[in-house]
Amino acid sequence: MFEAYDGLCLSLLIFKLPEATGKMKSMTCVAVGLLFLLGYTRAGIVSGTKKSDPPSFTGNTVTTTSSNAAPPPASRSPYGSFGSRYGNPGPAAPLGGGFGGPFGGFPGFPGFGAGGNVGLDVGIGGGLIEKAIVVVGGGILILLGFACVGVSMGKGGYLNNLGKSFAGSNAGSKSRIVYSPRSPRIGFILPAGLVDWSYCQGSGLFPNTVRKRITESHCVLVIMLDPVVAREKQYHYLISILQKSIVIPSAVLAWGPNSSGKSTVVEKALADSKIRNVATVNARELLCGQGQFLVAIIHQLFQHMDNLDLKNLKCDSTGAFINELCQLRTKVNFGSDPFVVVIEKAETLRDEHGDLIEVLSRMQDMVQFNICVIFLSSLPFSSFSCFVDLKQMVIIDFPQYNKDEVTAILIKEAPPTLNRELYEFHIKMTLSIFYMACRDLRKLHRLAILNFEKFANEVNETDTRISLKKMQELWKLMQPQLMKDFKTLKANVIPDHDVEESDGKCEEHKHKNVHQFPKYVKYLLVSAYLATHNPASSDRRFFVKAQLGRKRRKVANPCTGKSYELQYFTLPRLFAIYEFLTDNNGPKNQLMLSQLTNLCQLQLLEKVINPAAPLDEPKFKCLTSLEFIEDVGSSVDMDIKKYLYRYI
Amino acid sequence: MNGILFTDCMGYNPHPRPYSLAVLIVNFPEIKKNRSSCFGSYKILIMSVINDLVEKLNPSVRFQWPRTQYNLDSQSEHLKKKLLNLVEARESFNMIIMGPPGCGKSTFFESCLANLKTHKEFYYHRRIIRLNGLVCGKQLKAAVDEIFRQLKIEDEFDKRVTYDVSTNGKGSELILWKPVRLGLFGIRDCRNRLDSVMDLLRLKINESGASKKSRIYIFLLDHLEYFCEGTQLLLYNLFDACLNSKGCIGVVGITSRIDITEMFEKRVKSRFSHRIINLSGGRTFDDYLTMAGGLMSLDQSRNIGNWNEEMLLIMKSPQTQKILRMLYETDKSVGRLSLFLYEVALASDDSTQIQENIVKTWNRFNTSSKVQQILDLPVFDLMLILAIRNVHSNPFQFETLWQQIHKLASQFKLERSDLKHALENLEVDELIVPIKTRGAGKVRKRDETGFYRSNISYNDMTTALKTYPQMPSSYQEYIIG
Repeated sequence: MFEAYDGLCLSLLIFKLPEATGKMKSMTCVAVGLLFLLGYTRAGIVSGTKKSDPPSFTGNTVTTTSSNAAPPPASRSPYGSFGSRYGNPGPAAPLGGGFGGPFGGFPGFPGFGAGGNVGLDVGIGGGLIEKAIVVVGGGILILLGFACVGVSMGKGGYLNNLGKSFAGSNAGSKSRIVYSPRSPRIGFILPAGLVDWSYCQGSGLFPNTVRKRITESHCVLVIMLDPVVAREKQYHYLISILQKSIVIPSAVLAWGPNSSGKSTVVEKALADSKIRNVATVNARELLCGQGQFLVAIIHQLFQHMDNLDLKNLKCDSTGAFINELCQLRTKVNFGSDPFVVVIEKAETLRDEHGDLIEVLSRMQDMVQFNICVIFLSSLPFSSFSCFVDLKQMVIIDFPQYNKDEVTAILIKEAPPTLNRELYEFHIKMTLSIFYMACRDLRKLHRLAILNFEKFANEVNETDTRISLKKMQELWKLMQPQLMKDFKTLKANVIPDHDVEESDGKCEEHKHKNVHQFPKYVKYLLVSAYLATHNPASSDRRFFVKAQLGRKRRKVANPCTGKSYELQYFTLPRLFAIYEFLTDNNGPKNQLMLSQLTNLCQLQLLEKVINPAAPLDEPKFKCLTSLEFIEDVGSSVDMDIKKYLYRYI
Repeated sequence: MNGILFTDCMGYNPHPRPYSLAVLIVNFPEIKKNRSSCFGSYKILIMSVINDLVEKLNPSVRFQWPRTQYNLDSQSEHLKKKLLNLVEARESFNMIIMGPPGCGKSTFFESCLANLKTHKEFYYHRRIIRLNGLVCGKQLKAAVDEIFRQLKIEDEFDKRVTYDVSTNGKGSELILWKPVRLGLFGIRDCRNRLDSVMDLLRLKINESGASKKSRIYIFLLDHLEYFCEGTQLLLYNLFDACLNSKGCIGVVGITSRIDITEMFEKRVKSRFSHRIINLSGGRTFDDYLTMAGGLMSLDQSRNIGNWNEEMLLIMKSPQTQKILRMLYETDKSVGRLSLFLYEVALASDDSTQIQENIVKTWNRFNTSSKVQQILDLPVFDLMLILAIRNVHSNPFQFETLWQQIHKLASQFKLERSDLKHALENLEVDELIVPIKTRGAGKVRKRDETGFYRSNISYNDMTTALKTYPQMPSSYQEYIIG
């Protein structure tokens, strides 16, 4: 088991290295794939466990692998937190963590381990998943596994990019991954927005039947809201755009905060105006490469045509894309049927693909047929204005739902089996706490459903009828739980009570990480912090010894709470402070320099080289927070605040 | 596909141009039937008129639609003269059409072309090659591919080469052309290919020059500024061809950059004729009003009742004039105006609603999206906006904000970390922007000492705070205090 595990650590580590080339990564992909299988079979033989208790590994190793620390304890955490470097550290890990989501719960292979269920917590998880699809069933899983590896092989740096983008992703508020160690049958989660189905289909990796089964799977975890609730205005506006004229505008921008019903309204409006040639792509699919992105659009636009041969389609540039569109359009006679491309998360296009926005928004002009691009974005037009000129875009804004509308929608979306009256009361109670802090409909919906079970149990215990007095009691009973959830809300994660224990483990793990440092590294870290947060002019005050004949001056102006600037420090300054703290006893430069690079890799320090003068000595900055450094300081019996300029 | 307007570009422009109203109706008898049956009852008539209006104002509609241009008579005369000279006097020309986005540069050119339809000689001999800088400006390869494709000379090309072999090298200049397959050549081949394209063009012109059936090639380079990136080899060749070949090549560049000639290389600049049509000329408010009236009115030949008179009345009402004045003061371009009127037409079902919708649409245009974003924020995040409003436009740290609102936060039992999270949310919404440190480019961990700058204007914040629904009373007190 450990072999497989070590191998994984290794390969995951390679993904992190920016120098690793695409080829190397794809090789590693294969290696990972093989290791998966190896891991299963071995674990299957060795453990031979029953399905009740799947052994699992955490992906939470990356921070420690560089110093060759002991592997962390295999916890029950179903969500690894590879993302402790990429994503938000700490509480964000369970869902938004990033790389290393649920992949486990593989039904055992027939020959090995007699039905043992082996969990392996490595996969694509968390942040990016917009609309997760859960696939049930063993046969498909294996196929999927290969398909996934195949995709990443083809893309080269695909997984690496994936990791990078986690840093900026506001951890998938739309995604709800249901994973529970108790039900290992739900095993494989693929980001629907990321894996390009049509690509898989075209390349023969993905048989048509499987694809069909995936889309028809009953486990699709997307809340479908009725758009007519509180979105009539936008809906009718869109309908009039689509239906009032034969030619529709070349670009439409629908913007509004997350889960304000943009995609749902657009989807319904398109369906109601009987537009068949629709392509819906997520802008994040561009991580798979621009060519794939454009091909995916064409595939979807012409999917209803049987007589077209799209298998060998290649679009390596926007020019080729436009040409292909024109040529395909001449082959089929659609009349004036409009073509519509829906681009979700269009705001992510701005960073590197500004040109693409411009081309897409003028596509009608270039291809000269009735095609329209609908951009869905959570940012308003003003954020796009540097790319597109305003004269072409029709803008529809989706304001956030107000409280009444949220209540109405949530009640309407109630699971049919629940007690209506009770649920209504519950919703109102939940909203009274959460609406102040969060207006995201999906999160609220999830929260409401999560807590309802507990709430209903309380009611059953007390009384089936609800009186006003009882309500107050219930309120008191539920409040702690709700407040707890409220705290987790800030991590941009939908709390899942199943993974609470693993949450604690993560914290503990991080804590442990700190105490694993050698003593002198701790001193080094502390001195780096001091060098960053104290102005250089104050060094004499703190770090010059009294024997040298100078008296400490009394500080005239205490500057507590004033804003202060962070200093970049040079190595001599750092080591001067370090030597003071260690009383000249610590190991000298050569030994500590390697530790310094370690600290940089752990993102505790930041190294800056002046681009104008690259030969100058590098400068450093400490990135840790005060709480962290106090923790470190206390472990070497040091009071940090004594040395901090701003606390004097 | 259909026979009416296709003669226009058949065989020479690869892109089918299926939509013009006439074509559509011919193509789809059912639409025509619906349309003609519309005129039975009044209600349907109005719907149809509105639909016509929507179609007329549609912001995406480009060159095949009859779109009138306003106050550009002298310029269009100039362009027309140049275009006709291609046929009549065999004078090549190059020219740049310049103007701010949305002022109708493409429309200007296309309508000039359309007006020349009556000129038989010009109309049958012209070949228009449309290149868009966005798509093929940056790579020479893409541009050459595109020219090849649009000229449809691939077949001819191969034929000539084989011909050349069979006649044992009699056509001497043709030996230079190497039969390279499309898409398989590198930069060097690409240059060769460009050369051979230009050779072919010259040859064709010379061949046909003697007879009456001479062809004219007009290159339309949209987004000219993109062609100036990189080597400018294409521009050089085109301008050179203009100078050296006897007539028959016109190069028209369309750009919104005023410093376009400064971007040219020396050799390109020396070959450019410095003919520039600048469309950004002043437009008085009266012109603007007539333009708006023209956009709203419909073709009299159809059965539209007294639609045009009604529109004239609406355009003359003081309320409309006031709004149009404001629109004029912000942006004089046709594009903006027609988008505005398009949205008005979209929202209304008959002529009585238009007046009302002009006001509504203007209000929509006039509200800042930042205000909308602030209104969408949860109450707790709004607390930060209160604090940001106080620091005005100065850069701030989280600490500065916290100092201001920690008392307010304690009323709601909010902790420091909660508000820090709220700050992150604001950053995601791009309401505040982190000020980059010197270590830019590296993934920087967000620490609380990072500086931010507000992206919202003070006025926006004030209006948003005034209109925020159900704001807690303690916030109100904070604002007053």
